[in-house]
Amino acid sequence: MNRLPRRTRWLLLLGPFVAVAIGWEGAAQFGVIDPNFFPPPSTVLVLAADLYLHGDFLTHLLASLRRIVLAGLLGGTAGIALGTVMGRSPTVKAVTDPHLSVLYPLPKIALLPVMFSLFGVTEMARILTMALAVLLLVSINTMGAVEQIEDSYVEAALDNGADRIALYREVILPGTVPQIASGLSLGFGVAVVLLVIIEMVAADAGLGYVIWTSWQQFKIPQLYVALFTVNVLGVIFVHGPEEVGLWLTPWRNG
Amino acid sequence: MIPPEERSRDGANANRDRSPPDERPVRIEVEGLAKTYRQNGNQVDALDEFSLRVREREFFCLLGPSGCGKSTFLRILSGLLEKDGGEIHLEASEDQRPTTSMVFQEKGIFPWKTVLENVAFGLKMRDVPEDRRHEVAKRFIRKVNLDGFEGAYPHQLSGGMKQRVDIARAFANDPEILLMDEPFGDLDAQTKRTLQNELVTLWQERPKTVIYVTHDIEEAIRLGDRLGVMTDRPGSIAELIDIDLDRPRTRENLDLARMEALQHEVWSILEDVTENQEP
Repeated sequence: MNRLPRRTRWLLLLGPFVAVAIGWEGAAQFGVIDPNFFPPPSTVLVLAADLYLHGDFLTHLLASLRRIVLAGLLGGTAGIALGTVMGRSPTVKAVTDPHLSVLYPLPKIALLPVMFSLFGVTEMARILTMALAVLLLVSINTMGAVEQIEDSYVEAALDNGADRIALYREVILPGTVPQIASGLSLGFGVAVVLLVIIEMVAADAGLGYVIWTSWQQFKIPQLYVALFTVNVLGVIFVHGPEEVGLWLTPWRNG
Repeated sequence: MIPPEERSRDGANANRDRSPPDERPVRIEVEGLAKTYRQNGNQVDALDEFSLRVREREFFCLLGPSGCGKSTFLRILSGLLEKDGGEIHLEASEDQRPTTSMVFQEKGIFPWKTVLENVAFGLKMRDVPEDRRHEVAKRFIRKVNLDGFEGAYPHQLSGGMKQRVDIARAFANDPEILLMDEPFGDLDAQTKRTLQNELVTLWQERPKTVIYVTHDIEEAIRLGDRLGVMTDRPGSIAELIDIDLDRPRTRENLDLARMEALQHEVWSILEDVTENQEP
């Protein structure tokens, strides 16, 4: 594949964004679209600065951030641990795999009332609902990756005197980093969806909460500020793990 | 761990010791070894009544039809597999050296470790301090002609270079017994020849007992002091042949007529072995 020159790639990356922004701005200014429903980017940007510097948006952003970070940490660690054990132990897999398969297609948002029943209407219930989604995707990806590790690598490690801990540290974990990263990426994708829905229906802070209340109070520019913020969060949490995964695996081709 | 410098002096002494192999002490003694696999509910006898004695510093080649249990035997010797019957006695020395180290056919070195980390891996597992193990690893990387590639990852290396890394790791471990499972089986003829020569040079510099598994008759004769031909499954030793070719077995020095005669001998044994096993 021919690689484009650096400048061309940046131009192709950013150009369309700028074009859409300018088009939108112009269309709203000249009344082609209704600025009450589609406020021009300039209005939204000015409002964003104001809401973050003087308003309560930072509080909402932090509430959302806290939820997604905690859910990612909980679900991610548990998912890596569970997936690794499932990949190495047929017994554990035989017990847990059916449960994961049943839970996997269930939209996790449907479990929110169950979580509230179990833990009360608390942050714990909200975060665990999201963490469950992360756990499922991370554990399934990790398990697949562990199973795919070549027997010869395990044999080589054992033959060179690796004990069980060293086997995991030196072979299993490094060999599964790429798939763990994509599992986290998928998990965060679902977690962001859950975050917004949970905050819309069952929270009194957070970006999803702002989006819904802004709509109901017809504060459309404010809705867009929250929407773009969610978008930025999504990009960071979905693509972040893959970037970190690439950075951690300099040994891969390319 | 004894510093390799001291041992290389021992090695040099050992190398000067031209005592014929059959006067040296027995290093590996295997008696009536048996191994059975379960495969889709069927029992597969991989090894049965497998007996063998290999002497100190002997380069022993194990030759046989594919699936005859050659690799199984190596894995039992290395401790990666449990035996189901028979006796194995490996004479181990008193110091910290590992008894065996294996060189794999392929995928024996870790893609996520650099050449240096791969070669130093066994030493790391034995808690040799980092600067010490890197020093030893670098010495063996030089010995397999990979200097300059210490920081490279395996995907940047050719097949032959990867096998050099695996060999360097095994020698850096400094085992009593070197187990080699068709280490050059996937290489082209030219590379294979080069690596065979390098291996013999390294082995003569640091003599070890070697068990070298291969299905390549010429390779076995070129490398070995002695050669064992295995029967078809369940594997055991059908015949032992002394390779009475002088070393170094270079192009100028090699008795080609004798080599050809040995090849014929092995061929006919192999033919008998496979015919006897036809149902």
